[in-house]
Amino acid sequence: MEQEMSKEMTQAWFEENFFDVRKHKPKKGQVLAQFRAAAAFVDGWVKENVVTLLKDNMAGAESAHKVMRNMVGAVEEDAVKVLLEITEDLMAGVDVDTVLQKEYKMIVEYFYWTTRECVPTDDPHWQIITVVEPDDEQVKSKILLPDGSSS
Amino acid sequence: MDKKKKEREKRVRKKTLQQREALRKLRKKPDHDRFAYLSKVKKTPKVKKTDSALVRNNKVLQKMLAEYEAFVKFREENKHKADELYEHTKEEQAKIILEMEGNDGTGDE
Repeated sequence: MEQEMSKEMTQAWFEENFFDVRKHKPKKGQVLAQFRAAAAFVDGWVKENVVTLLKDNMAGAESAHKVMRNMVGAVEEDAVKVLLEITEDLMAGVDVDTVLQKEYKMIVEYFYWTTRECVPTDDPHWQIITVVEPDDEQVKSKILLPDGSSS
Repeated sequence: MDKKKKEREKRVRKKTLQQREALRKLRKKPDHDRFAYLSKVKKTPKVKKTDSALVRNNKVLQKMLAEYEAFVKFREENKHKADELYEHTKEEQAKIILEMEGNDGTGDE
Protein backbone atom coordinates (compact mmCIF):
# COMPACT_ATOMS: atom_id res chain seq x y z
CA MET A 1 0.00 0.00 0.00
CA GLU A 2 2.82 2.36 0.97
CA GLN A 3 4.64 1.59 -2.26
CA GLU A 4 1.46 2.23 -4.24
CA MET A 5 1.04 5.60 -2.56
CA SER A 6 4.64 6.69 -3.19
CA LYS A 7 4.30 5.61 -6.81
CA GLU A 8 1.14 7.68 -7.17
CA MET A 9 2.55 10.77 -5.47
CA THR A 10 4.50 12.24 -8.33
CA GLN A 11 5.12 15.97 -8.70
CA ALA A 12 2.52 16.28 -11.45
CA TRP A 13 -0.12 14.32 -9.52
CA PHE A 14 0.56 16.42 -6.41
CA GLU A 15 0.20 19.70 -8.28
CA GLU A 16 -3.02 18.47 -9.84
CA ASN A 17 -4.63 17.47 -6.54
CA PHE A 18 -3.12 19.65 -3.81
CA PHE A 19 -3.77 23.41 -3.74
CA ASP A 20 -1.71 25.65 -1.48
CA VAL A 21 -4.01 27.62 0.84
CA ARG A 22 -1.85 30.74 0.34
CA LYS A 23 -2.76 30.84 -3.35
CA HIS A 24 -6.11 29.06 -3.65
CA LYS A 25 -9.59 29.22 -2.20
CA PRO A 26 -11.42 26.01 -1.28
CA LYS A 27 -13.71 24.37 -3.79
CA LYS A 28 -16.76 22.28 -3.08
CA GLY A 29 -15.90 18.92 -1.51
CA GLN A 30 -12.33 19.84 -0.60
CA VAL A 31 -10.85 19.37 2.87
CA LEU A 32 -7.89 21.07 4.54
CA ALA A 33 -4.82 18.82 4.66
CA GLN A 34 -1.83 19.63 6.84
CA PHE A 35 1.69 18.41 6.07
CA ARG A 36 4.14 18.63 8.98
CA ALA A 37 7.78 17.53 8.97
CA ALA A 38 11.15 18.18 10.59
CA ALA A 39 13.46 20.24 8.39
CA ALA A 40 16.72 22.16 8.46
CA PHE A 41 17.13 25.83 7.55
CA VAL A 42 20.01 25.53 5.09
CA ASP A 43 22.03 27.94 2.96
CA GLY A 44 20.12 29.68 0.18
CA TRP A 45 18.89 33.11 -0.88
CA VAL A 46 16.12 33.07 1.72
CA LYS A 47 18.59 32.42 4.54
CA GLU A 48 20.95 35.08 3.19
CA ASN A 49 18.12 37.61 3.23
CA VAL A 50 17.02 36.60 6.72
CA VAL A 51 20.57 36.97 8.08
CA THR A 52 20.92 40.39 6.39
CA LEU A 53 17.60 41.50 7.87
CA LEU A 54 18.62 40.44 11.37
CA LYS A 55 22.08 41.94 11.09
CA ASP A 56 21.42 45.28 9.43
CA ASN A 57 17.73 46.14 9.58
CA MET A 58 16.24 47.95 12.59
CA ALA A 59 12.89 46.21 12.00
CA GLY A 60 14.54 42.99 10.88
CA ALA A 61 13.12 40.72 13.59
CA GLU A 62 9.52 41.33 12.53
CA SER A 63 10.27 41.03 8.78
CA ALA A 64 12.40 37.90 9.22
CA HIS A 65 9.65 36.35 11.38
CA LYS A 66 7.15 36.92 8.55
CA VAL A 67 9.56 35.33 6.05
CA MET A 68 9.99 32.29 8.30
CA ARG A 69 6.24 31.88 8.72
CA ASN A 70 4.99 32.68 5.21
CA MET A 71 7.81 31.60 2.92
CA VAL A 72 9.72 28.93 4.84
CA GLY A 73 6.60 27.51 6.52
CA ALA A 74 8.15 27.14 9.99
CA VAL A 75 5.74 26.68 12.90
CA GLU A 76 5.29 29.73 15.13
CA GLU A 77 7.59 28.54 17.93
CA ASP A 78 10.42 27.45 15.63
CA ALA A 79 10.10 30.56 13.46
CA VAL A 80 11.14 32.60 16.50
CA LYS A 81 13.58 30.05 17.98
CA VAL A 82 15.62 29.67 14.77
CA LEU A 83 15.91 33.47 14.38
CA LEU A 84 16.88 33.83 18.02
CA GLU A 85 19.54 31.16 17.59
CA ILE A 86 20.90 32.98 14.51
CA THR A 87 21.10 36.34 16.33
CA GLU A 88 22.77 34.69 19.34
CA ASP A 89 25.36 33.06 17.06
CA LEU A 90 26.05 36.38 15.33
CA MET A 91 26.31 38.21 18.67
CA ALA A 92 28.73 35.56 19.92
CA GLY A 93 31.06 36.49 17.07
CA VAL A 94 30.33 33.66 14.62
CA ASP A 95 30.92 34.96 11.09
CA VAL A 96 28.10 35.19 8.55
CA ASP A 97 29.44 32.42 6.30
CA THR A 98 29.50 29.94 9.18
CA VAL A 99 25.94 30.91 10.11
CA LEU A 100 24.86 30.40 6.50
CA GLN A 101 26.47 26.96 6.44
CA LYS A 102 25.06 25.90 9.82
CA GLU A 103 21.83 23.87 9.73
CA TYR A 104 19.14 25.12 12.07
CA LYS A 105 16.56 22.45 12.92
CA MET A 106 12.88 23.35 12.81
CA ILE A 107 9.42 21.96 12.12
CA VAL A 108 7.65 23.12 8.98
CA GLU A 109 3.97 22.87 8.16
CA TYR A 110 2.07 23.46 4.93
CA PHE A 111 -1.66 23.51 4.30
CA TYR A 112 -3.43 22.36 1.14
CA TRP A 113 -6.99 22.19 -0.12
CA THR A 114 -7.57 18.71 -1.51
CA THR A 115 -10.07 15.87 -1.61
CA ARG A 116 -10.26 13.51 1.35
CA GLU A 117 -9.19 10.51 -0.78
CA CYS A 118 -5.90 12.16 -1.79
CA VAL A 119 -4.61 12.57 1.78
CA PRO A 120 -2.31 9.65 2.73
CA THR A 121 -3.81 7.83 5.71
CA ASP A 122 -0.77 5.75 6.64
CA ASP A 123 1.69 8.65 6.75
CA PRO A 124 2.12 10.49 10.10
CA HIS A 125 3.18 13.66 8.24
CA TRP A 126 -0.33 14.17 6.91
CA GLN A 127 -3.43 15.15 8.81
CA ILE A 128 -6.92 16.25 7.81
CA ILE A 129 -8.28 19.32 9.54
CA THR A 130 -12.05 19.53 9.71
CA VAL A 131 -13.36 22.97 8.87
CA VAL A 132 -16.83 24.37 9.43
CA GLU A 133 -19.09 23.99 6.38
CA PRO A 134 -16.36 22.38 4.22
CA ASP A 135 -18.77 21.80 1.36
CA ASP A 136 -19.41 25.48 0.88
CA GLU A 137 -17.61 27.16 -1.97
CA GLN A 138 -16.01 29.50 0.49
CA VAL A 139 -15.48 28.97 4.18
CA LYS A 140 -17.62 31.60 5.84
CA SER A 141 -17.77 32.70 9.43
CA LYS A 142 -20.72 34.26 11.15
CA ILE A 143 -20.93 36.16 14.38
CA LEU A 144 -24.14 35.25 16.14
CA LEU A 145 -25.54 37.80 18.54
CA PRO A 146 -27.44 36.79 21.70
CA ASP A 147 -30.74 38.01 20.27
CA GLY A 148 -30.44 35.44 17.47
CA SER A 149 -29.46 37.88 14.73
CA SER A 150 -26.15 37.56 12.90
CA SER A 151 -23.66 40.03 11.57
CA MET B 1 -12.49 91.28 13.59
CA ASP B 2 -15.27 89.84 15.74
CA LYS B 3 -15.95 87.18 13.14
CA LYS B 4 -12.30 86.12 13.14
CA LYS B 5 -12.27 85.93 16.93
CA LYS B 6 -15.38 83.77 16.95
CA GLU B 7 -13.96 81.42 14.36
CA ARG B 8 -10.76 81.05 16.39
CA GLU B 9 -12.75 80.26 19.55
CA LYS B 10 -14.77 77.70 17.63
CA ARG B 11 -11.59 76.03 16.38
CA VAL B 12 -10.06 75.95 19.86
CA ARG B 13 -13.26 74.48 21.35
CA LYS B 14 -13.35 71.79 18.66
CA LYS B 15 -9.72 70.88 19.27
CA THR B 16 -10.27 70.71 23.03
CA LEU B 17 -13.23 68.38 22.54
CA GLN B 18 -11.18 66.15 20.24
CA GLN B 19 -8.35 66.02 22.78
CA ARG B 20 -10.78 65.16 25.60
CA GLU B 21 -12.28 62.37 23.47
CA ALA B 22 -8.80 60.97 22.70
CA LEU B 23 -7.90 61.04 26.40
CA ARG B 24 -11.17 59.31 27.33
CA LYS B 25 -10.40 56.52 24.85
CA LEU B 26 -6.91 56.14 26.28
CA ARG B 27 -8.23 55.82 29.83
CA LYS B 28 -10.76 53.14 28.78
CA LYS B 29 -10.21 49.81 30.52
CA PRO B 30 -8.03 47.49 28.39
CA ASP B 31 -9.40 44.14 27.26
CA HIS B 32 -7.86 42.02 30.02
CA ASP B 33 -9.78 38.86 29.19
CA ARG B 34 -8.63 38.54 25.62
CA PHE B 35 -5.00 39.40 26.23
CA ALA B 36 -4.70 38.07 29.77
CA TYR B 37 -1.68 35.98 28.80
CA LEU B 38 0.33 39.16 28.15
CA SER B 39 0.35 39.88 31.88
CA LYS B 40 2.21 36.58 32.37
CA VAL B 41 5.02 37.37 29.95
CA LYS B 42 8.36 37.05 31.71
CA LYS B 43 10.58 40.10 31.81
CA THR B 44 12.57 40.66 28.65
CA PRO B 45 15.33 43.23 28.13
CA LYS B 46 14.10 46.62 26.94
CA VAL B 47 15.04 47.82 23.46
CA LYS B 48 17.12 50.99 23.61
CA LYS B 49 17.48 53.58 20.87
CA THR B 50 21.24 53.16 20.95
CA ASP B 51 21.10 49.40 20.35
CA SER B 52 22.55 48.10 17.10
CA ALA B 53 20.16 46.35 14.69
CA LEU B 54 21.41 42.91 15.76
CA VAL B 55 21.02 43.58 19.49
CA ARG B 56 17.62 45.18 18.98
CA ASN B 57 16.40 42.24 16.87
CA ASN B 58 17.67 39.76 19.47
CA LYS B 59 15.73 41.56 22.22
CA VAL B 60 12.57 41.72 20.08
CA LEU B 61 12.83 37.98 19.33
CA GLN B 62 13.28 37.19 23.03
CA LYS B 63 10.10 39.15 23.71
CA MET B 64 8.25 37.36 20.88
CA LEU B 65 9.24 33.95 22.26
CA ALA B 66 8.26 34.92 25.82
CA GLU B 67 4.85 36.13 24.58
CA TYR B 68 4.30 32.94 22.59
CA GLU B 69 5.24 30.72 25.54
CA ALA B 70 2.91 32.67 27.83
CA PHE B 71 0.13 32.33 25.27
CA VAL B 72 0.63 28.54 24.98
CA LYS B 73 0.58 28.21 28.78
CA PHE B 74 -2.55 30.36 29.02
CA ARG B 75 -4.26 28.31 26.29
CA GLU B 76 -3.44 25.06 28.11
CA GLU B 77 -4.75 26.44 31.40
CA ASN B 78 -7.99 27.56 29.75
CA LYS B 79 -8.46 24.60 27.41
CA HIS B 80 -11.41 23.28 29.40
CA LYS B 81 -13.28 26.56 28.82
CA ALA B 82 -12.89 26.16 25.05
CA ASP B 83 -13.97 22.51 25.24
CA GLU B 84 -17.04 23.45 27.26
CA LEU B 85 -18.03 25.91 24.55
CA TYR B 86 -18.54 23.11 22.01
CA GLU B 87 -21.21 21.55 24.22
CA HIS B 88 -23.45 24.59 23.70
CA THR B 89 -25.47 25.85 20.75
CA LYS B 90 -24.08 28.72 18.70
CA GLU B 91 -26.38 31.24 20.42
CA GLU B 92 -25.28 30.03 23.86
CA GLN B 93 -21.64 30.17 22.77
CA ALA B 94 -22.04 33.82 21.70
CA LYS B 95 -23.64 34.62 25.08
CA ILE B 96 -20.83 32.90 27.01
CA ILE B 97 -18.15 34.70 24.98
CA LEU B 98 -19.81 38.05 25.64
CA GLU B 99 -20.04 37.25 29.36
CA MET B 100 -16.38 36.22 29.44
CA GLU B 101 -15.50 39.55 27.86
CA GLY B 102 -17.41 41.37 30.58
CA ASN B 103 -20.38 42.26 28.40
CA ASP B 104 -23.80 40.81 29.14
CA GLY B 105 -25.19 41.79 25.75
CA THR B 106 -27.32 44.63 27.11
CA GLY B 107 -24.84 47.23 25.96
CA ASP B 108 -23.76 48.10 29.51
CA GLU B 109 -20.25 47.01 30.43
